[in-house]
Amino acid sequence: MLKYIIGRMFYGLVAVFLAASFVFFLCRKAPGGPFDRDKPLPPDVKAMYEKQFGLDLPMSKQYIRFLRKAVQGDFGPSIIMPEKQVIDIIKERLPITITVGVVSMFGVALVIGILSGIIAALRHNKRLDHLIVGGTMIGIAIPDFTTGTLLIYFFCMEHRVFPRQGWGTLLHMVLPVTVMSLYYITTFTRYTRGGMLEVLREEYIVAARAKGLPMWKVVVRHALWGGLRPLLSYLGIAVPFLFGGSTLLVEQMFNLEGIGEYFITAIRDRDYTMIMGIVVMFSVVLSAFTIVIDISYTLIDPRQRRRST
Amino acid sequence: MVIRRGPLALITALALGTSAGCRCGSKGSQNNTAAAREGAQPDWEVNPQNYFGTVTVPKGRVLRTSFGPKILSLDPQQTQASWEMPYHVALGLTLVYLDEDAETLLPGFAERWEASDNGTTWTFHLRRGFHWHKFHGEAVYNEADNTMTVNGDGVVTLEEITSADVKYSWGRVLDVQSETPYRPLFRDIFLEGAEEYEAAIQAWTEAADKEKPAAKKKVDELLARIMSESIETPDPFTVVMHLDSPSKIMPEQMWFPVFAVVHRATVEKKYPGAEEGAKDQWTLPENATWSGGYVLAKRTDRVVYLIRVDDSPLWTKEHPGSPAVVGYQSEKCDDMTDMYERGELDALSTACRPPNAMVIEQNGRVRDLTLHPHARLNYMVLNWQRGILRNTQVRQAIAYAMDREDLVKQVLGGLDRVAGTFVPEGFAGFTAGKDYGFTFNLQKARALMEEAKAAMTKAGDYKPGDTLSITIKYRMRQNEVDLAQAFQRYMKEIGITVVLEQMEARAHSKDTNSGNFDAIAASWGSDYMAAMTWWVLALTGNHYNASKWTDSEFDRLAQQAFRTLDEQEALHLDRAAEKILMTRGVHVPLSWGTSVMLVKPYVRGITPNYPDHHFLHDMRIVVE
Repeated sequence: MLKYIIGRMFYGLVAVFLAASFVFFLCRKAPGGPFDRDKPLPPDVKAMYEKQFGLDLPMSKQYIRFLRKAVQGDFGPSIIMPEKQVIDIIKERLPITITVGVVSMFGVALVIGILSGIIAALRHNKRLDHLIVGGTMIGIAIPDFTTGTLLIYFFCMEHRVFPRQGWGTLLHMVLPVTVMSLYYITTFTRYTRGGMLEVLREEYIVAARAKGLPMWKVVVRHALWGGLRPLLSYLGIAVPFLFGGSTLLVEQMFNLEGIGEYFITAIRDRDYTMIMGIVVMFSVVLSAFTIVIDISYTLIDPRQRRRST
Repeated sequence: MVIRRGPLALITALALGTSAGCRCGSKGSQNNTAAAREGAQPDWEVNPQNYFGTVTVPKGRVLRTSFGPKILSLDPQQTQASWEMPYHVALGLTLVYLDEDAETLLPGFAERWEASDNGTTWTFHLRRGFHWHKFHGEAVYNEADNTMTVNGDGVVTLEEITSADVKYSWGRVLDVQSETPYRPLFRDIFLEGAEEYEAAIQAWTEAADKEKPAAKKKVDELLARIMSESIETPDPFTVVMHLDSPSKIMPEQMWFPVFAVVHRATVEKKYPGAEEGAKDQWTLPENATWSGGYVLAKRTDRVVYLIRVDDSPLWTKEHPGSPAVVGYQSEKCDDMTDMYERGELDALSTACRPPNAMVIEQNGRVRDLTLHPHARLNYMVLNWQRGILRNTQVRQAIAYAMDREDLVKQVLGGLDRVAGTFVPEGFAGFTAGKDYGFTFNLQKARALMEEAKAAMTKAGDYKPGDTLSITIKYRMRQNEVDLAQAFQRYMKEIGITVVLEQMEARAHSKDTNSGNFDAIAASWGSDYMAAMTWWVLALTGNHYNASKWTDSEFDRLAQQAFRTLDEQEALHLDRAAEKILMTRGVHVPLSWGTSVMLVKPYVRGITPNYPDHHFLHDMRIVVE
């Protein structure tokens, strides 16, 4: 098992290195630099700015300099906001992104998705099952930005129940969390339902029922872990997507000062140091999460455990 | 000397007396004031439907405002964009200030000033009683009450500001190490030696590596000379400036934040990360020392929180400022307009072009919306060094084929004014009566194209049946997309195929500034009220000249006009320069801008003005 974990960590580090290197060269090859502005800077000022951030050095030297500092967790100052260190900006903004992401996925989507998935499986082919499955179809079909726009229009513009933008109170969280969790509720429901249906047909479940155990005990004690296996696998994909895609959109939509919103700004402004800081941070977090998911999968599924050992 | 104002300063919004400023150009405000004086209910309470969104006066008196996108730096001397300047002017003390009309000069650090008979020596007599200030503590803004509470010492008063601080601050701007974008403004006011200094900097930038040390030495020598000879401080409260020749933008231009006073010890302190490129850490609330009428209490990426320095001599009965200011920074015009409509913003002067749909829809229907002429030109640049655009007649044909009326109506929301020449109407005597310029004339454009084809055929550059094609590069902004598509449509009428190339902003800026384009659309706002503010776009060697176009006669006329103080002569020379510019057809004027302001009726001190400058020392919430 230890060998397996070390192996997974090694691959995780390789993934982080590759992602960071790829993005480093990609963003420097992209046309336009951080000091190419609408209102041009005097040439000497531009040259000084570039020298200040080492952008006048050959690409290979810049890359080595970046790697040397990155392993120490130092990405230097942001190019666009040079009064702040990249790591400090990440520290300031990450809590909002993490809060919205974690509350949406683990606080709302996972709870509602698992419960509705179990209910749908237990009521297989009954009216309630059809209702839940139909609901999930609608949820999957409507994109986040449509849901978000409709919610903003209805709850912020028309009825002014929730604030339109910003962060700070529970009310500020309601709409962003709703928009982000809706898609995941629907997918989690479908994965849980599918997994549970499969497990509920297993002989050991039939045997447990035959022994006279009440249905809730059968579900909680025997069926649940097996039924959640597909969902667990999906989480390994969903979490990266959550932080790499959904948060960017929702933070933009509700003007949340999270890291996703800043990532888009950093790319647009060619804030190389900020881009690299966020990419490395996301890569590390997501690799770590993937490793945790893989390990928990082996813990839940004895077959996987055997394979990994 | 450190004067502390108590261990716990509590700033809550207070009513600011009854000083009634005039919001000229804003319908209804006079009536409101008069009604209030007579004890009647103000119009906005009686007829709230005449205003855009909520008009309930907020409980607190913290001014909530937005001037546009994010501020890059809060260092006043690093000022670059119009939306940054209100904050820079608020935080940095300058010798003079502009009133809300952006014309009347008010005393700032200088209480009076005089020029020598020949106009080349300016003496500024400084006021006593201006001190440096820091902010100690934590500022908490309560959105519901619109109040700002300070936990901690609050605004702390430090030592007095003197002429030595002015000299240091200007020297900092002039020093190339400070990387100040507006450094050339010293050349533009004709500071003695500044022109030679700028030329030396250019030579140093362009010099080969082995020649750089010698070039830099010359730069340093010239800087030392300027600092010893051109800027003098005979005593702690006098500053003397020596100019090469009289300047028509002196002393008015001294309000510009690049001339603000900064605190030497704070600015020069070594902060962590400086060797890796970090800068401006001195502007962080915990580090900063400010000279202006406000201090920075807090800053997030979207919001700047300022608190008034109550003991500043700047404040008068007419200009009491606001106890605190919350400045939102966003380029999302719809979001800002929505905030205004909800009553979460008191004043919104938007840099959005064109203004959003909600604003256009309300045009003429609400009293708190003002659309006013703005000294801004929207124009196209045609690359005179590429393809068919090398031919002057082709460029002129393009200029005549632009249906500006249609463009203003369809693309710019019907708000801008059609521009056939460069300098906006009403600008420094540039009113009607020009005998040159472009108007939409398809017949003339087609005739010019035929002449151009004949000339190009003769030169072997064109064969009958060849496709005449140019590419327009534009950014992913709706108005630029619309403009590019309109351009494509207009050019089709004269047989030119236009290829559309949509680009990201930074990539677009790179290509624009390096001259890698056939055609681009651009926009330019005036820095000062002299025609030179426009000529920099076409002057040989100027870094704002994207076209890299060069004409020695134009340069001569423009420079001469800028140097003469005789208004009639200057106008004559400027018009001659503009005529050359129009004849060459490299710069194609399209429209003159309109600025949009949404100001709640209970706000005073923000007036529509031509350069679209708005200052926080004027603005305040007033309850009659």
